[in-house]
Amino acid sequence: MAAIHNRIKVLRAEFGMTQEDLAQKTGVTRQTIFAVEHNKYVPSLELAFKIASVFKQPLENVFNYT
Amino acid sequence: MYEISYIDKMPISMKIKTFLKLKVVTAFFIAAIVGVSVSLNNLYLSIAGVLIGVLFLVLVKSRVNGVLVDERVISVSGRASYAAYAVSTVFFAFMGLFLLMSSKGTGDLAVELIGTVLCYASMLLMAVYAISYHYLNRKYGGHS
Repeated sequence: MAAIHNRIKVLRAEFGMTQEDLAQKTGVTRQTIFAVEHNKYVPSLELAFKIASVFKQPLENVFNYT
Repeated sequence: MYEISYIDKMPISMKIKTFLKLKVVTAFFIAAIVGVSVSLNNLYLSIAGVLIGVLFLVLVKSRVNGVLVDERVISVSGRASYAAYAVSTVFFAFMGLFLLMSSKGTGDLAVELIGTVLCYASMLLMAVYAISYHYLNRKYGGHS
């Protein structure tokens, strides 16, 4: 079954960023970042773009649909 | 006036955890005031307690440094609200009908009254849901 996966945890580690830091930069709660990272919550397109822009990556490098 | 001047002296920003702790403390405060007012049979005291508590929380909320509500919280709230609506409407409707039907046999006016109130409560819930659904559907582009 196809699902949306992401590389947020890897990118966070590369940028030395905590979940709290990413949450502050994207304007959401830390719990939401945790839920997105663990594929428990699919973010809105706006939040997905915000997360990608924090890591200065195109959307498809952060999220993929497989 | 005392509460407002006290709030104005608080630090500009506040962590979410501090806010949540204050929320619990305020809930206990309101519960205690309402409990005391019930024992004293004083309606105004309970109203004042609730108003002060709500006002305090509203003022404190504006000082919170961080995000309290985001898209996931709204999504979860929406689903929880729908579940609560679905369960309570059906429960009220069936309970009201059961009480109305059982009161026909016994002629108990109190049971009939409770049954009628429950049926109307169920109807009110459905009306509020339909109106809010219609409004939000139009707001988010659902109209043709």
